[in-house]
Amino acid sequence: MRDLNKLVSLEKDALREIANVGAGNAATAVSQLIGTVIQVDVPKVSIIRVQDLPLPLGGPETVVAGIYFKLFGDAPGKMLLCLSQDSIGPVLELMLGEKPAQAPARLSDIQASALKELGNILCSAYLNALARFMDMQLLPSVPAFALDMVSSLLSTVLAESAELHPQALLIETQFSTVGRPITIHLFLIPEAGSLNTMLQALAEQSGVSFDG
Amino acid sequence: MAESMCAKPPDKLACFGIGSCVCLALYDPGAKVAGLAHSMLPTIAAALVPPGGMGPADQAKYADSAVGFLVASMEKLGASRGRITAKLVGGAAMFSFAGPRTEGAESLGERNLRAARESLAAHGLALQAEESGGSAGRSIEFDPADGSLLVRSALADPRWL
Repeated sequence: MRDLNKLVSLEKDALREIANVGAGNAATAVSQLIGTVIQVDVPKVSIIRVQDLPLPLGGPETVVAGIYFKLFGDAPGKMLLCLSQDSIGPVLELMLGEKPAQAPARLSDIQASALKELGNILCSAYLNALARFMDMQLLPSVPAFALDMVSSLLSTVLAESAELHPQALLIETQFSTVGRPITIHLFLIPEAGSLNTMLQALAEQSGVSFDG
Repeated sequence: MAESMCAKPPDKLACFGIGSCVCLALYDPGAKVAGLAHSMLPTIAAALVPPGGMGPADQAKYADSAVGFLVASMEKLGASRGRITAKLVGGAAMFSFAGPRTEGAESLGERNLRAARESLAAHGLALQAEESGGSAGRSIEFDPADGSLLVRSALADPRWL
């Protein structure tokens, strides 16, 4: 198995480029769904020890809506989408046409379902772009949903990877809107074995070799 | 995460955002020494054991090795093994996928809890209380002055354990 510590900067750039392609497509799809312009930040590629959680959305106890997918196909892995609590109301208003009462502590089935659907569209658009770009097959599971502390969600997702590898490759992208406080954070966590597959596919596409 | 800490009054211990992980809270009321370990996984896979053996971080990371390691750390602060009692928090299943669950499959949280309970029993430590399972994340605050443990979650009222 590939030592994640030996990922060279060229390879990180390549992964960032993959993430950009996916995120760009996902932003377009979500922008059409909710009818606002979506901004995409430059994706961040990092190799972390599974216990060192990133906390992009505030402290470990910040409540977020998490939409989680297992990814199957040529490059298996996981994707977790986190919507900040401030985003939930505006997103639901745009999708369902009605403003939820106050800050949503609990969501109705239809509200949770709407957020899962948003996740589905974002995840599928992201994966489609990746799959086309790398000429491979990538399939998401059905979404799982939870409204809870960001650290409890992320640590659970990372713990599942940790059984096989002490480190994880984390590809993060942030989506936001102008004018409305909507922030969606996307974590893509390819399995350790998927890294080689992805870099190889990129090498074939671009003619650049990543022998590191 | 994957860490352990010990403390005596007036210091306090805390752990935030526990999902499928288990938090092991040990307390010696005689010496007023408290110990907390936050484990991510039930047991180390043979392939992941480092050549030089498991370091402190690795031992806390796995629920089965965390118990012995935490007891030894507490003994250095004056705790006595015979007086130590245990509380267990965490082991939730944060995400559930629609559709029938695979027959007999245990969630990671359940496996973490089982490993922690078995290891406590193997070390002869009494499990005094447990706030575990379910589908909600938890945070805890642990006070070495009286061994009280406060469990908080995002949507439910705080609870003393």
